[in-house]
Amino acid sequence: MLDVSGLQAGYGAATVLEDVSISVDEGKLVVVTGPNGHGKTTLLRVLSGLLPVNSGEITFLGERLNGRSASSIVARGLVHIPQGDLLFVDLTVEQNLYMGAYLRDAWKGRRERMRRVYELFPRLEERRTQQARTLSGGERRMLGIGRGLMSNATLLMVDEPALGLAPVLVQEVYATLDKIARSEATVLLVEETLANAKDIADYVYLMDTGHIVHQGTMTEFGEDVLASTYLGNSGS
Amino acid sequence: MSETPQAAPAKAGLAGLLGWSRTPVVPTIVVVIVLALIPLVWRNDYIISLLVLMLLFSLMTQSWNLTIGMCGIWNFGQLAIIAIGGYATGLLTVKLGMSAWLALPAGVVAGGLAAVIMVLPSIRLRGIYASMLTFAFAEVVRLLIIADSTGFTGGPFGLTGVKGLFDFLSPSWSLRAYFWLTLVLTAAVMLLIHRMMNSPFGMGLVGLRETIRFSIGMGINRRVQFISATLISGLIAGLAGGLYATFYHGITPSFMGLGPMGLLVIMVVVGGLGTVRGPIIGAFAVTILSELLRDTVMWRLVVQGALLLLVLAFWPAGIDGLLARSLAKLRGWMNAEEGGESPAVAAASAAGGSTVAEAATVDAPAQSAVQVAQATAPPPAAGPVNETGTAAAAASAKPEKKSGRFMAWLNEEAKKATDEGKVKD
Amino acid sequence: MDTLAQAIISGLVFGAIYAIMTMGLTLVYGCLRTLNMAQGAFGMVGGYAAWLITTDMGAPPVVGLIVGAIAAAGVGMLTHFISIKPLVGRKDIDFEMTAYISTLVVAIIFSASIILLFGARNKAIEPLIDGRLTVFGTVTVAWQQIAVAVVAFLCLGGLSLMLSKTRQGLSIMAVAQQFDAAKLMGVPAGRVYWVTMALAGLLGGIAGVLLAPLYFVSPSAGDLPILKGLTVAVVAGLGSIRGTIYAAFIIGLIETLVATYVGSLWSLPVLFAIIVVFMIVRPYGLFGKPEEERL
Repeated sequence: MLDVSGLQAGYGAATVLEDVSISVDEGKLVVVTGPNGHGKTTLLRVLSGLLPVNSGEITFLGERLNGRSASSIVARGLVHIPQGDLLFVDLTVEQNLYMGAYLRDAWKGRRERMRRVYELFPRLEERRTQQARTLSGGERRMLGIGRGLMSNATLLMVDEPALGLAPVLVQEVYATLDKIARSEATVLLVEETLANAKDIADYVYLMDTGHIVHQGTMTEFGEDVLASTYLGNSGS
Repeated sequence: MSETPQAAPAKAGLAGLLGWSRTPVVPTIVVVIVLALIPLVWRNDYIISLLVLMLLFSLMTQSWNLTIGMCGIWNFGQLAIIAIGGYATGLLTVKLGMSAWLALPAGVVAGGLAAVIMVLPSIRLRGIYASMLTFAFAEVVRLLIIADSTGFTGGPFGLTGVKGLFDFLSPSWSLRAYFWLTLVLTAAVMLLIHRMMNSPFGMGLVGLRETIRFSIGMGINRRVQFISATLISGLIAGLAGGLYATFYHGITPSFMGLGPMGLLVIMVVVGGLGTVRGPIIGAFAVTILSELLRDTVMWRLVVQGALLLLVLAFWPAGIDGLLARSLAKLRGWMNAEEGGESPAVAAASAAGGSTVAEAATVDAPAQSAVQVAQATAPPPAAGPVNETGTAAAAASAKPEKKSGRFMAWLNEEAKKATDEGKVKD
Repeated sequence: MDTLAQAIISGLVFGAIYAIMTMGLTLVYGCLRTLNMAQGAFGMVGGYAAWLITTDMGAPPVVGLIVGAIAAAGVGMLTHFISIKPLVGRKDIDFEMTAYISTLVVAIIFSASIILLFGARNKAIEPLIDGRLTVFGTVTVAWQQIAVAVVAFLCLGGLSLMLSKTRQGLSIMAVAQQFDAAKLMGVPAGRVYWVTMALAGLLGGIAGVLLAPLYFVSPSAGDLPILKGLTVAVVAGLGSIRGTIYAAFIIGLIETLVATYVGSLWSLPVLFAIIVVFMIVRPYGLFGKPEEERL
């Protein structure tokens, strides 16, 4: 579904991603892991069109995405759920969700989509008319993911869904993400702590200083690979 | 045959080694003497009075420029400070019968005090908030004077009957005397400002622009420097106001209006914001433009406004920036030297006029100080962002087009445009 | 007592007009992070358009209101394209400051252009409705004042509905609150910007036409409104929609009460003094949020 090859990108003169190649198959849950600050978020931002591509190819559902605007990428079904939720804090839960369906096609079916999101996150329905700023950490995360789902996404890219959440909530969020991957959309996750995702990940990429250094299914990933990467790069 | 960077400091002497640009005292004196001959040769009193106006404007623009250049505050109340100087001087001569020569220093002091009072509260505020505060202060002053029905300040019709400095001379000679006086003062102020901006005192302050929170992380030293710069700016403003009041024998509240303030802004921006020569260039250029369009008042406003918009959009470094770039390019052709020297050396050589650096201006040493300050700068105020364009496009598009000073002041993200070397974000 | 009642009514009516006008400032600040100094000029142009249609061409005042609003909306868009859009996204300038000056200059240019087109003299314009209504005792309310109240109610109510329920309205709020997320939802920032400016123009135009019968249509008709708008915005807290409405009425009342009991020349200095006090003591206004890095 998504094919990235030889991607090189960064911020202005600073190159962060070097020759990154990943691919995501339909219906799978793929995880990109690795120490923080090594390019995982940058990768998602390039894929969603917030950052330009210096070189390399991005292909999604057979179409080349290089250079496309953020809104056209979203229109094609590739949705980026950003780190830290970035909710519209003064809008209500419902309004946030509606915004997720901003694009015309999604807008028409928004009520239907919202029903589906409420099924996945019943707590959001309870808080429908509350301002987003009044939600707890876990609820915010759910709202962020729900908002992403509102857009008829075919591939959801979620950045650090476990960030700042208590372990119980992390489990809950990941269970829902698993459900989503099986029924709603393909999921690409960025997760610093691989342990969180190890039960549901179909395929894992390990990113280190902007390079993909290891990849494989969860079973192929040995403890030692992770350890050496994290330890070897601590303090850099 | 190219000169090595080491040769340049030797040429500029001690000043170069310390990273200071040499203050062009001698050349300035020469220029002043030459210009002083003008009224002796020229008969046309109107032109002379116009020149005096331009010089008065130069003092005003220089004082305004000092506030923004060294304190980073767009002081939209500057004209009120100038006016306070003028009113102080004027009132002393009118109400107390004092001689203008005695009243003038009082006006100077009044200006200094007014500046400190007006600017101090705005230190903690960011950009437009500081401006709004200074503007509101100024408006209160202006409106109170207009509302003054006791006749003390002359109310909306202004103060009249202010004594002139040279009333004992014939009008023609008085005019010329004013010319010489303002000429010398403008030149002296220019040298003073140059000294200030290029001394460690000045360079320390340069980084202040980026420090939003005044009290946090600032030593007593910097606070003192900030207040000093504001004070000096106010003193100059008071001087300009006092001279204005004595020259025109009066002053009115409309002097402080948004129109004249806008004109001041246009002068400084067009001339080159934050530079040493900019304010003077701007004052002269805009006044000449106004004169040429004198008969078509409305078009004049439109033209001036359009000029400001264009300059802001395309040549933010102003005329001074254009001049500096052209000079630098010229030197580049004459010598084979290209960039890579430290800004300090580049500035020294710019003053001495020998080796070359890209976009070298007399103010260049400040750049290094700015970059140091940038590293500790708080997150800048972000405006709206383009949909697709992000850091990459903008940063690579215009690396060298803007010269030193302007970027330092208006630019909250100078690092992207000034240096290609820095990498991490 | 009657004077007080009259002053309060008048103050509330002005407050309503200020609320409409300052809402434009608030939306533009929230969405584009720009202090739109041309907001008053929008009203000025709206006034001229209304004058042209009604006095010059004989249409009924309501038509004047509509035409004025639309003309001002167009001017709002124009302002965006010539003074704000060229600055967006640039890394080499301080956007907020430059946009502030830019819009200020544009306002001056609009004034000057109006003088070139129509001359500098004031023009008179008819109110929407003539006549007064006696409320009790000797306290009267002008029908115009009631008309203003009705217009304000419809206007602000409609705006509130639009912003919270429609796709375009929600996108404006979204861009104002969380720009990056809005982009990720496919919101086209560029379009939201000029739509917001057009909306600001519309609001400014309505306010301008409502003010016009009171203050004449003149090239400088926008000067005072923008200053009052700034006061309201500062008291409210830049970008706060709720705050704008409250603050507008507060300022309207203060202005009228000062003018009635102290002297009309004093109301403006008092307003500025309020700005000064707020900037020193509470820069984020009554309803703004301190964490939004105003300082």
